[in-house]
Amino acid sequence: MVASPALPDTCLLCHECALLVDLAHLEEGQRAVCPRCGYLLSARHRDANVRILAFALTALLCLALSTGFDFVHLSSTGLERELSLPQTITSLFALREWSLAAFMGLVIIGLPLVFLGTLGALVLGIQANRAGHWSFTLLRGVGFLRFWNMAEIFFLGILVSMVKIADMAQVSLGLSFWAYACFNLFLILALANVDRHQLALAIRRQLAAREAAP
Amino acid sequence: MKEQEENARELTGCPLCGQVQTRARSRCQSCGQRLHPQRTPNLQYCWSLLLTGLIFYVPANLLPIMRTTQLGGTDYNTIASGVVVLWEHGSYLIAGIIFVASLLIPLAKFVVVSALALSQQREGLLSPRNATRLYRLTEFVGRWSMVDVFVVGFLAALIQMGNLMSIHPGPAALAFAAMVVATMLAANSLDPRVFWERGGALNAERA
Repeated sequence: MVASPALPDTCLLCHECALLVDLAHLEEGQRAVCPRCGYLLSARHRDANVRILAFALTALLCLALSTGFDFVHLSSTGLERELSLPQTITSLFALREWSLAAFMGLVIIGLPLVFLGTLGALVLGIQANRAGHWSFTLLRGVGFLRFWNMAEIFFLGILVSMVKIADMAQVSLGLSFWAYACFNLFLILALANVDRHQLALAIRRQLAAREAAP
Repeated sequence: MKEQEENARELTGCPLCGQVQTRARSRCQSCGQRLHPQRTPNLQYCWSLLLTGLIFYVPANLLPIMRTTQLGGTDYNTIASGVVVLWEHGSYLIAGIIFVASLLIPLAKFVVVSALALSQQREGLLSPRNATRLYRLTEFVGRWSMVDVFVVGFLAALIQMGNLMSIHPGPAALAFAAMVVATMLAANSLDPRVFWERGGALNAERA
C-alpha cells in the first residue's frame, strides 16, 4: 500500500514538520535531527532496551522502598509529626480533600507505577522477539503515561515546601525521601533511553518477519 | 529531491508507530492508530480547551489556594499573595519559582497557544520555524505549572498540628490544577505539521 517506489522501513516523516527522511544510516550511538525543523527524529542509544529494563526495574524498586519508611519528619515547639509517602495522600483523604488526594495519588504514584510496568512489558516483549499487535497498544500507553507522569514536578514541589516551612519548623528528611529521589533519577534515566521510532521499528520488523515465515 | 518532496505531500506518518503510508487511509496499516488528516486543522478542540482553562484561571487566582491556621489566627493566601509573602520573608528563589510557574507561565501559555492556533488559521502570522519553537516550548514547560498544587497538597498533608499550626488547601488549588490540565491538553491538541504544510504550500505557489 506504500506509494511506489516502496520506501524502506527506515523512512519516516518528521513528527513536527512531515519532512520525509530516511534513517537507514543511523548507527548505534548516533542521533538524527530533522534537517528542516530540528526535531529529534530518533536516537539509537547503545543497548537501549537493556538499559531501559535495568533503569525501570531499579526505579520500581526505589518506588517500592520509598513507601516503606519515613518520608519527612517535622518538629515544632515540642510537637512532632512523621509522614510516609502514602500518608501524604491518605492525610489529604482524611481532610476530605477527595479530588486533590485522588489527583495527587494518581500523578505521583499511580501513573508512574503503571508507566514503569507498561514500559517494562513493552521492552521485554521486544527483547524476547515476541512483539505483537499488543506491543503497539503498550507503546500508545507509554506515550500517554509519559505525558501525565508528574513525579519530578512533585519532587520540585517537595523541595519548595521544605524551604517554605524551614523558618516555622524543623524538618528532616527520611529514608523514603531519598528513595523517592532515586526513583525520580532512574525514571529519568530510563526515559532518556526510550526512542519511539526505534521501538516502533523493532515491533514492525518482528511482525513482518513473523508474517513472512509460514 | 523535488520529486521526493512531491511524494511526501501524498504521504502521512503514523503518529504512533511512524509507518509512512498514503494519506487516503484513515487508520494506520501496521498498528491501527487513527491517522490525522493534516490538510484542514480542526482547532475547535484547542479553542474550547483554552477557553476552559481561561474560565478556571479566574477562580484559581481570585480564591485562596491555602488556608493557614496558626495559634488561633487564620490566614487565607491566594497565589499572588503567597508569592508576596515569600518575597517579604526573603525566600527570593522560591518566590521566583512560584511566580514563574504559577503566574507567568499560565498567562504566557494562553497568549502563545492562542497565537499558534491563530497562525494555523491565518497564514503569515508566524514563520513555521518560530511557530515550531514556541510549540515545543509550551509543550515542555506547561506541566511545570503544577508545582504550586503539589506544594499546597504536600504542606496540607504534612502540617496538621491542630491549633498550633495547620494548613488546608483552598478552592483555588483544584481550579488551578484544572486550568493547567486544560491548557496542557490545548497545547497538545495542536498539530505542528500544519505550520510547515502551509509554509510549503506557499513556497510551491511562488515557484
